[in-house]
Amino acid sequence: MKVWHVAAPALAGLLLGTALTFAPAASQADQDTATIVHERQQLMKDFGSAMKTIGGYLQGGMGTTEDVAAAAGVIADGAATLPDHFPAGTSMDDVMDPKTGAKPVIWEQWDEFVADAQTLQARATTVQELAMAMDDAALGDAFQALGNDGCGGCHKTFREKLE
Amino acid sequence: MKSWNRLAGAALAAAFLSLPAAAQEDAGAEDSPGAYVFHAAGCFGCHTAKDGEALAGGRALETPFGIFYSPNITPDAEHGIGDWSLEDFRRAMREGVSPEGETYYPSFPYDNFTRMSDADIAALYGYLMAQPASANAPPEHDLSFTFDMRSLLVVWRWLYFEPGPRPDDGLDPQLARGRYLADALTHCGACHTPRTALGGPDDDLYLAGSADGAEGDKVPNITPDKATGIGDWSEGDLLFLLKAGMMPDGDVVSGSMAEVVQESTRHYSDEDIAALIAWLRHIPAIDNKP
Ligand code: HEC
Ligand code: HEC
Ligand code: HEC
Repeated sequence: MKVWHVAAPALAGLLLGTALTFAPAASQADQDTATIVHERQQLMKDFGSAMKTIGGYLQGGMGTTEDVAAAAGVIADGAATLPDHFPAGTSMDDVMDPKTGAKPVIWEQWDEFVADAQTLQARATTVQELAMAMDDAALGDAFQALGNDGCGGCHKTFREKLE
Repeated sequence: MKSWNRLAGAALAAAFLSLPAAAQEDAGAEDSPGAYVFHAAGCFGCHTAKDGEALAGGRALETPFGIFYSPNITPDAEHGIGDWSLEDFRRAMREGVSPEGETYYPSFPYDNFTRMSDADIAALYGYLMAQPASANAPPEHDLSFTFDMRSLLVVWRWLYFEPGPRPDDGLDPQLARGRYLADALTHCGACHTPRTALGGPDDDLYLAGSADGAEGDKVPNITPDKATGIGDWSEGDLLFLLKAGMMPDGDVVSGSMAEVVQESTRHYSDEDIAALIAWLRHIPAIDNKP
């Protein structure tokens, strides 16, 4: 599906006999925008996989505390660069293709958005440290805080869930 | 691992235990029964504006009928509910009527809160009256003209409003508690049950999802239907959703549900989590894709 979306303009160009070099600057920008959206959605998907790893350990004893520490590390590292993935002009009102769930309010309340990313980093770091210390007893609460304050805190205000 | 295993084990296995009796001296404490009801019922979010004082109102609630601004429910005598008696408060929660006899709009989910027990209403009253007062005066509601008439509420109430706690309908105590949490306190149906054209809940689609929930969110079907609901979630999946907001694929809920988890369900006792999960398993599976 996705490949076809990207390929469609090129195909249309060929069929209409127009050279692709005619493509106006805007289409370059569109492509950049598309890349930005895909990359940040991938970052979020990686967060999701990491959460699943940690959840799996807590729920069913799957994996080890090292897996948990590594997964929390993925989140903490990603959180550090998270705001860079949201340049102005890439909200769901600006970008139609691909669909994005980034609400325009992100740029109205940018400082809060950045603060939410920092909270995520802090909560993920706590989980990472507890996992490295093999402090199973405290991990459950730390994970709850990670989901609620870390991910949910930002999603509550800034993300629209896509279909 | 221990704490979550313990949590999961205890929560899912334990029979329902009632809350410890009220410690009368400190009704406003965060570990009081009033605080528990307050969190479970989600009063804070609706009655607190962004960056505003706690419970001082003014949060804009966008609905298809217009914008509601929640009132100040701090114990300020002039702008809040400081001069209300317990009976005034009970009437507002149970009957949806103000001390002046004015009928409230159901944007204040009293069609759910009416099911609260007298004990919970009293505990909640004690808790609210012990919070700091604020003199904030929120704006008037801004409603489309057909709905800007409290008199129309007579019709709505006649059609949909059935005051008072429910009989236990022969449910076992855990299920009855689960239903109480879902309906009377955390009002899951206010978002997850679709509304009819007249704004009442469509009971035939209890918790089967709604295309236009609060603030335009699309709200999923949470009945045990396998195809369109959450029939294929394990109890552990539900536990993680209600405690951490995490869904089975690792994604974390957004919008109003993030608020529900943060303010209400994550504060549930283990027994209450188990009771709510039991109830969500018990209700009819409905095939409905909102
Ligand atoms: C600072 C804000 C912020 C934080 C913190 C955050 N997210 Fe997100 N998340 C967003 C936004 C905004 C989107 C929508 C992005 C888009 O569609 O362009 C999103 C989208 C997602 C998506 C959907 C991606 C897709 O493919 O459409 C997932 C999954 C997700 N987040 C998981 C997480 C998890 C798990 C965490 C915590 C570990 C987290 N997020 C933390 C803001 C945040
Ligand atoms: C979904 C949002 C929402 C939730 C949740 C909510 N309220 Fe309200 N509440 C409102 C709105 C809106 C009104 C105004 C209704 C009207 O004007 O007809 C209101 C009105 C009230 C009033 C009447 C105030 C007055 O000055 O007449 C009281 C008391 C009250 N709420 C208490 C509570 C308590 C206690 C809780 C938690 C158990 C709660 N509310 C939860 C939205 C909410
Ligand atoms: C204020 C509105 C609101 C209330 C109240 C509410 N929910 Fe939700 N719920 C939502 C929305 C919106 C979503 C979709 C959020 C998302 O996917 O990011 C959701 C998602 C869910 C999901 C995930 C379902 C899925 O298929 O992804 C479950 C489970 C759930 N809610 C259960 C409950 C329960 C149980 C209650 C009551 C204790 C409740 N909700 C109360 C709005 C609400």
